[in-house]
Amino acid sequence: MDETDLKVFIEGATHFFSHMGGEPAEIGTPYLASNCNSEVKGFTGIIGVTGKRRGSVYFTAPSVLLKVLLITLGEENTSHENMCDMVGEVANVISGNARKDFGSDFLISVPIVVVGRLDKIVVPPELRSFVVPITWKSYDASLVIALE
Amino acid sequence: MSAMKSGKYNAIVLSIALFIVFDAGVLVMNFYIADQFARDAVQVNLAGRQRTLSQRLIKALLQTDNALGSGNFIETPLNELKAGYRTFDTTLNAFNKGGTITGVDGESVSIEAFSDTRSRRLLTDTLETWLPLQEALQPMLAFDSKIERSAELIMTDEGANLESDLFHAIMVASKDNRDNRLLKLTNDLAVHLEYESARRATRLRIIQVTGIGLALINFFVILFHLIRNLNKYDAMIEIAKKETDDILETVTEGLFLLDSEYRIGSQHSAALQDIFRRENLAGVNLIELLRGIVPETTLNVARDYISLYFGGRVNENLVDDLNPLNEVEVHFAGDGSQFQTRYLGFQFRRVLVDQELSHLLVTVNDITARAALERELQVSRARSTAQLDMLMDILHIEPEVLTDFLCGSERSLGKINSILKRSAMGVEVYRAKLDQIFREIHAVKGEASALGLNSVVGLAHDIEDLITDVQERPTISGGDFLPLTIKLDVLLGHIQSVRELVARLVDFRLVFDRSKIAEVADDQRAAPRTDMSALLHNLTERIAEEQGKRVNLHCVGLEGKHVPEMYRGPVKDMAIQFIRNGVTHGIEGPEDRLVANKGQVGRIAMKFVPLGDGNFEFSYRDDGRGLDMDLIRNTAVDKGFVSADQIEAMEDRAVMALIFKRGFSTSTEVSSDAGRGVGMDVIRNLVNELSGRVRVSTARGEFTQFKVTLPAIPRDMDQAA
Amino acid sequence: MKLMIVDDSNIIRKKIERSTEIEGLEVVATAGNGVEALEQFPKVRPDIVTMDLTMPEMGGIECVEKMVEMDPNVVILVISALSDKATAIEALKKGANGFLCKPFSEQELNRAFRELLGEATNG
Repeated sequence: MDETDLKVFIEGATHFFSHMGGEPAEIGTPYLASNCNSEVKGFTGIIGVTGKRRGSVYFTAPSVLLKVLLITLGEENTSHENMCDMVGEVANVISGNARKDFGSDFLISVPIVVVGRLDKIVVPPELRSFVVPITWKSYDASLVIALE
Repeated sequence: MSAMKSGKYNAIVLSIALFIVFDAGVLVMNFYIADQFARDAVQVNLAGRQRTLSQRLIKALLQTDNALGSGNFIETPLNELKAGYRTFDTTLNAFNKGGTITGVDGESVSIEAFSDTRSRRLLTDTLETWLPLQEALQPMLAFDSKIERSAELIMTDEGANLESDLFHAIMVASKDNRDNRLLKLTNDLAVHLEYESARRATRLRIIQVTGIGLALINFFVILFHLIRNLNKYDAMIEIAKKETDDILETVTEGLFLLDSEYRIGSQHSAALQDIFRRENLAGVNLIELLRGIVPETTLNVARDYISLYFGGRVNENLVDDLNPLNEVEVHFAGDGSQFQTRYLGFQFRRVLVDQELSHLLVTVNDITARAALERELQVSRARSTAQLDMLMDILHIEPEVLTDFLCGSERSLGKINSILKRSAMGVEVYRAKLDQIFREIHAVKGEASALGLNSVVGLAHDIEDLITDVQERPTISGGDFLPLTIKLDVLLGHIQSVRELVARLVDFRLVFDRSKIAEVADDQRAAPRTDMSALLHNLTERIAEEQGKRVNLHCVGLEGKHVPEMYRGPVKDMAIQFIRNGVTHGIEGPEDRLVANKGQVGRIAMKFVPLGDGNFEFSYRDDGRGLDMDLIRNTAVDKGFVSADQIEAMEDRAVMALIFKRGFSTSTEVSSDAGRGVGMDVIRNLVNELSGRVRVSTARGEFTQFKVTLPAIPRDMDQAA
Repeated sequence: MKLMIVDDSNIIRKKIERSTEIEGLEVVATAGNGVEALEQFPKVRPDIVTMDLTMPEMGGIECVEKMVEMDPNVVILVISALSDKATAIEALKKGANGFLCKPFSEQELNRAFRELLGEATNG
């Protein structure tokens, strides 16, 4: 796994919080996970990646973080739909950032949002994903990068 | 096809030629008939005039005579007589011999002599009848007098002569009923001519109608022929189209024509839709079709490449190597956010029509299976090469020892991952994490080094480098751990592949051993070195060889099951660190040893013994140069562990304790065996974790000894382990 | 038929010179870079040119463009490594007629010459 490739996704996430979230997010020490579902925190925005590398990148966050984020952005309505929109929006920024930085080497899909377990997402069992803990305003979210 | 075409055209050309000939014939006939009608009309009219003139002449003759007799003016009837005579005579001559005369309408007309028998006979009769009268009329024609009045004229000779001439002419005219005969003959001629004309007209009309009829028949023949041929041709086209359609329906390749605007032609094979997963491809721009499923850079190169074919200069047989779409990875949006990856192979050929480039024939194949196979082959080839290298590393290691190592290192790496996963933040926490990880990875490296697993040693060494690098930074953030995590992933993958290789080797050995079952029974007694001491012997030999030293290792209580399960791991780790330090720092080179009056071969002795009180003692002793207290003092000050003042005040015992500090090493070079200053640190940590104690004793130039006391194991723990 | 060899590698120049076995095809000039090649080009008027792409002074693409400008009937064979397809395609766009991938065998080189000459004589 290429460090610069990983950084592009991480920067996408930090970029979002420092520009939209009012205060920057902290990155914890990245670790490995063999089961993506164990990292899921409620709401997950998934982008598909293919080209030079293939797989998926998820941004997963608990509802409380999304509620605070919605309010920070001036949205008082913290309904289920809005939280889905919110997590999708973060994934959108990450994928947009990746599209910009990777240029033509990668194809990045439009994000989809999953609530709860990621049943439909198939990740090869031998593939370890990189989990990057993201702490924002003391709430924990994760960026999971599962690329071949 | 072309012969058939020209045959078909021959028939049509012949038919059309006939049609034209018939039409032309009818047209010529029309002209001829029209001309004939005109001439007949002239003749009929002239014959009619002769009939009228024959009466008028007699009448003018009688009037002249009457006028002369009654004393009236004779000029008018005489002139009429003269005119009538002239016209009648010239016309009659023309009828007889041909010539140009003044027509009924005053225009001059030329006529031919009559030729048919009936006309000629009538003419001969007319001339015979006319001749005497003509002669008799001559004097009147020649008569010309100045005297106008008849009364006076009659008195003259002129008049008298005229009177007698007139009388004579009247007599000739009336003799034998000549005047009536003349009338009858001219009438007969006129009637005959009319009849002839009508007859001829009828005949000509019949010919005309026949011509038109033939032309019409020919026209219908052509029409029939044409329609039949068109039908036949249509049927042929239909068959050809059906064949093309069948080919395009069945062929498994994507086939289509591409124009210079990169547009797909109206016909393409059905397979093309399956390949591109969409319908209505006719007229679609190929580049647009590929956009979004092929990376943009490939697309730009592809566009340029295709344009070469339309450029005309390039030889198409010499550019296949450059085809960027020869094997192109395409990504179709699948379910959810996942992509479906296929490999397509495009081939381009120019299509020339009359030496001019009209299109490119494009062939597309889904070559996913082939590409996947190739890729798999490549990966497995790379893996085989890597595994072969690894095989060299592991062949000399006992499988049990190796498996033990693999499990152990996977546990260690798992522990590193859980250290990373711990969610506390802050620079101090991060530094602590780095320290803990360092100790773990260092232990892994030590063991790998003991087994001679160079690839693992290298990767572990890289991780140590990364940690040292991050430790030196003034502040540390979570992101700084990223390279470390990546390397961890690589190392885990590596250990997994070693494990796979071992599994295969074990299978192989099982098969191999079964055939030598008797020998194995003997070997089992003779080969006890399948345990920790074997590993330590290997390690000692390897490091000694690297350092150019000779060392003899003597182990007591480290074989078999003397060491309790719970302590086996830590004792092994400590033993490895002791040996690495001892061989590197303690034992002298062979020459130095000779100078010091020792044997060339150094000695290391290790012992694990249970003490009477249930505790255990693990001891290490070498007959090397002993600890150099001055060097330790200087190093401690240089590395800033203590100040120069403090060191002066410290006793040797306290100074010796410094070697257990993290980062302490008296070695000036970093190798994989020593120099990082963590070996002793690992031992101290292990001892602390196990709640044991460690003591050091040394004599300059004589020996170094470490004694580790480990507490008794609680009964339940021992059983559990 | 006159052949000109443009390549910055002496070894490759020699190899092409040695390998050419087409009857009537005669090496009339060799050049180590684009500038040298363009100096000699009008003097020797070659029918066929083999062209390397990455050379000092002036690269192959520019050289191809200038040669075709000087003589639109010249036949140019680009001989280059496959590593950069885009550059080779660019040279072909500028008017080169064929591409031969380095490393090449004698047979491949002569086949390429035959293709180009066949094309030139047929029309």
